[in-house]
Amino acid sequence: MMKKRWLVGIFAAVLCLQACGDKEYKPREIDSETDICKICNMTIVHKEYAGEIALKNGDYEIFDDLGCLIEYMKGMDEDDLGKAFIKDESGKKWLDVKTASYVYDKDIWTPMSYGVIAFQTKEEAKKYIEKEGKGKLLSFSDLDTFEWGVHH
Amino acid sequence: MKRIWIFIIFLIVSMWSMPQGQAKTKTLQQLIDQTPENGILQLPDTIYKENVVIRKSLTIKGSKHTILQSANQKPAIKIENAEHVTIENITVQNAHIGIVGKKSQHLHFKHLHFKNVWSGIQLYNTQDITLKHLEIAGIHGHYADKGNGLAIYNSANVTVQENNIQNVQDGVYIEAVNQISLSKNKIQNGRYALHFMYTKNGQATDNTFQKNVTGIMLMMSENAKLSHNRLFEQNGLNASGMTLFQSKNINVFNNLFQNNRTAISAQNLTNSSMKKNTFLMNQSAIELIRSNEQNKINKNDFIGNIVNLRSDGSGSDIAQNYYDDYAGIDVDDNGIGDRSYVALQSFGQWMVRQPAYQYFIESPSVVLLNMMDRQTNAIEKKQLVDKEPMMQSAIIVESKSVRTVWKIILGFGMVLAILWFWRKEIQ
Repeated sequence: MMKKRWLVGIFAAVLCLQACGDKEYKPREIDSETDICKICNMTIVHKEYAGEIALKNGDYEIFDDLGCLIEYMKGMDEDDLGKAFIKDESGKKWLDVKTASYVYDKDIWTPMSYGVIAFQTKEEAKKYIEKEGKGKLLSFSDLDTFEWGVHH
Repeated sequence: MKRIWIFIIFLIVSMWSMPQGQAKTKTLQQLIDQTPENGILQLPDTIYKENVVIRKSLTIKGSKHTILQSANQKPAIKIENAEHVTIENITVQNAHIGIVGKKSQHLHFKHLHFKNVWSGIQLYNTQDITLKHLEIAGIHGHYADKGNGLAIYNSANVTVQENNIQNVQDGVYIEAVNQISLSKNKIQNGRYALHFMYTKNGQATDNTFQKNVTGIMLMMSENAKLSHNRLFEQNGLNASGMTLFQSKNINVFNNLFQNNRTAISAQNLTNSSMKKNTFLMNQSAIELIRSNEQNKINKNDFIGNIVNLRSDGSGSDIAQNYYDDYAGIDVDDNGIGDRSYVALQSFGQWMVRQPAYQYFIESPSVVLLNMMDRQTNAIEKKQLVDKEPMMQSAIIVESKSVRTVWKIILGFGMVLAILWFWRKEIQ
């Protein structure tokens, strides 16, 4: 009898500890037929530039461009944010918006023509600038004051 | 035996002579290169399988069956740094991109037929462009996997007229263009029929857009006139006749919106107006988000829509519209109802915030809620209130006046006929 009580107690403690632990947030697959940008309403046809926010309540908000995602983040309650993701320059890999590095150039095309693309590391971003011969390196904190809009 | 030998010799000679004949046929690029500056190149009924580049002023005129097929993923025709180029009467088929124009002026493309292309025409940094009588049919598949019918970037003075575009991503994609006129185009089965981005002084008139996700998507633009367009059956999950986003001085007038999910979704507009439009049998006619009193919604006809107006709570100047569900009377007979029309519906407002609610729109509970709203919202003074609702639709008034003229003519004719018979009887 005592043994059973101990087992139940341990099981309950494990459950409680799991609930207390950090939840892992993962990006979800984007569907071009149904997903639209939360800010500008554009359908997500260029998935290689898309962004996502996984909310703590399990919902997802989808964005067609990094600029739209940043605008949403500025207006949201930080407590609701699980994790924000953005596709990297190759368009294949999801990156954590807060740890990624960014490159801006007016000639870089993005769905909203904001001209900012993401890289996993600062070194990758620098390499891109070196290879293309143009571009400005930005960090996540720079995006907060970045003037989003077409710069042609 | 002799005859067989002669036949064999003839075959061998023919085979020898064939390649020589082909070698003599000039490629399209050679013909272009040989044409003098400002010259006219007349092409016969031939199939050219190549990619050509034009860097000078010239006119290319095709014949009934002049066909150009791309030999690879490059554009079938590339125009660079040219001053005056006119291309007419050619079919471009099985190409990734039909025509690309860069840093050029006075480009005129007429009567061109694009078949099975990922994208029809792309223009970058161009001026004084005419795109007229083009037929563009994209590849099969989802619009996310296709290019745009026409895409125009950083350009000025563009005329897009009487084109027929279907099965592409955006019918006409317009980015950072100053002065563009689009008229009498028919665009269907794409994502957006017209997609304006950062455009100034745009005009879309007398176009027909059908079965797209959105008829006109207008974003971050200024000074646009959208009039006399017909927008039908944009009725998918995220569909709308027009979505007007973060723009100013946009005038939408005399358009017909029929059977769309949302006829106009206006978000963060400034100093804009929607006048004399007809909203017929749409799920929601006008959705207003982050609007303000500078935006005017006047003299429109709302007929057979499930929800006429809905908003996120922001105000707009709404006046002198006709609503088919207005239940007021006009004692002083001035054509304006004696009490206000209140379009506010709880469910309509919720739908703005949660689009998925649209699937419950005519459920018994929502119908009951709307009936309760009609009683309780009658005292609403500010939100979605039209203080001067019209008693008659402009369409009905128009058709009545036509009918009246016919009645007079018919009546006059009958009187004359009776008089003639009467006189004949007397005689």
